[in-house]
Order: sequence, then structure tokens, then C-alpha cells
Amino acid sequence: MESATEEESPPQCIICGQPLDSLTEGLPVCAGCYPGLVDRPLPRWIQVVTAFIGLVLVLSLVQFPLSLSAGIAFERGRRAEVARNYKLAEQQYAIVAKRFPSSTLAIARLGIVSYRAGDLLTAIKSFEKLGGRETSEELAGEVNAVADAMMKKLVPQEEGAQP
Amino acid sequence: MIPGFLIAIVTFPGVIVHELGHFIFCRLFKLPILDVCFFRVGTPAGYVIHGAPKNAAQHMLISFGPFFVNTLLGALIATPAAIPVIQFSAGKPLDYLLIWLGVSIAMHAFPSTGDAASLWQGVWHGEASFFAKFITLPLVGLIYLGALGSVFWLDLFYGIGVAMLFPKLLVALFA
Repeated sequence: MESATEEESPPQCIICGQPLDSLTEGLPVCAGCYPGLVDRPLPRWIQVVTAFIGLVLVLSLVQFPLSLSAGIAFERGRRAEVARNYKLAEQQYAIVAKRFPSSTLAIARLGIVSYRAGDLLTAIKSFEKLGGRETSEELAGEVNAVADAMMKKLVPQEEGAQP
Repeated sequence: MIPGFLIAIVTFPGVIVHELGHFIFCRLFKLPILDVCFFRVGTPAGYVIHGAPKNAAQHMLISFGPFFVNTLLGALIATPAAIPVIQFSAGKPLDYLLIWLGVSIAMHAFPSTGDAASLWQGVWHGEASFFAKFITLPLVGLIYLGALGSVFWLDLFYGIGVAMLFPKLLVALFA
């Protein structure tokens, strides 16, 4: 059987359990515990995770200018290529190819615009790097067309063949 | 359908950064933090229970703080990796780690419905000005729309969008 009347316990601090005379800033905590809630420290494992994320952020920020400048160079190269300014396009694509030597797209574009700019040596070197790589049909077709045209220029015409 | 707790586990750095966002703004405004959970396997995956903010601006910044912190941090971490991976197909293993971390953080940028409820309670039912209430109304609506959208992976699309579009935006701006 439940007791008929239950003695109401006085309000207590939710942190230390001490009886409270009054609320602090509207909260059921004593004046001694309140500053601890305001300056609540981060748990150790969160400090470790935060440090890890901070480290990764620093790593990203170190890479940031290099990646961004390559992205910008590619865009400038693309615009120069559209404007048929092949020398400028070659300079810009060369920046990207140097930064990302495994990028088939950057090397292919460098080869194509180098040929169009009359820099056959760079074009040949670029196309040599592309051997055995997989790329889109469109880019492969473009590279093959330029490589064929370049071969016709470089290999001496057969006797009697029309120029 | 993938359970929410699995998504939270895979993208746990985002949950932690989201709660850190609330935590930092509470510390900044010298508000008491009664309870905090940075990550757990459950719903919600994290929370910060704090004392009442002193004004509507504090309410909004505490609720929306993680949106700005997670978006900016996710973009800064993912961008340098997204350019080689997405644009040049020349990513290294570290780049994929950065993209995972950046997308995880950015996809937890959206304020939760709990944040919306707290904002609504504090501003709409508090002593805020008419202007603050006027601003809060659509913001709370947007938060609930975002929560509804997360059923359709809106939060993931947002995370991927931040990782992909931020570099494109920067390149378009500076090229």
C-alpha cells in the first residue's frame, strides 16, 4: 500500500545534489556548479577527434592552392583552346599535367594543343605517355586524329604521292 | 532502405562536428551546457542540451551554427581532393579519405528538427522582436523541409554538392 502523503523533498542541484535555496539563471543548479556548466570542457576523445580533423584540415589547406591553381589553369587552357590561342592553352595545360601527371585528360589536351601550336616535340612526348591508358571514346578519337595528322607531317611522303 | 544509425556510423565525423558547432556557440555566448552527446548509435545521433539563450540572435546562431561550420569545413576539406578526383581522374588514396571526410561533415550541416523546435520555442514563444519572429518562421520551415528531404537523401546530396560545386565555383571565379 502506498503512503498517503509523500513528503516533498526540497529542490536539489542536478550536478552535486546539494539542497537549493534558489535557481541559478533559471536552472536547478547551485552557484558553485553553474560556472562548471558554462566552462564545460570537451571530453578527451572529442579533443583527439578534433585534433585529427584539424590535422586533416591543415593537410587540405596545404594542398588547396596547388589543386585550385591546377583547376584554374585547366579552365584557362580550355578557354584559350576555344579561342584558338594554342600557345597559351599549351602553357596552361602544362601546369595541370605537371601537377597531375597521371591525368589522361590533362596530358591528352596538352598533346593536342601542343601539336596545334606547332610544338611537335611536346606533342610527341605527351602522346607517348598516353600509350595503354583508357579514356573516353571522344577524347581517344581526338587524340588519334591529331596523332595521325602529326605522323603525316613527320613521316616523309612516298614518292609520287600527292601532297 | 539503409537505417539511419548506419548512415550516422559511416559519417560519424559529421555528427561530431555538428554537435561541436552547437557546443562552440554555447561556449561563445557563455551559456550553461547541461548535457552533451557528441556521438552515439541512436536517435538522435548527438545532442547538446543548453540553458536558454539571452536573445533571438543567439538562438539562431546556436541553431544554425553547425550549418555554417559543417558546410565551410566540409568544403575546405573536400575541395583540394575533389579537383584531382572529379575533374582529372587522378586521385590518390588520401584524396578519397578527404572526400569522405568532407562529404560526411557537409551532409550533417542541416539543423535537426530538435534544433528547429528549440529555435521555435525560444524565439516564437519568447520575448523576441517581431522582426526576429518574422525571420524565424521561414527558417524553421526550411529546417523541417530539410528534415523531410533527408528521407530522400537530400543531406547526402547536399554533402556531395558542397564537395563538387564549391571547387567549380572557385575555379569559375578565379579562372
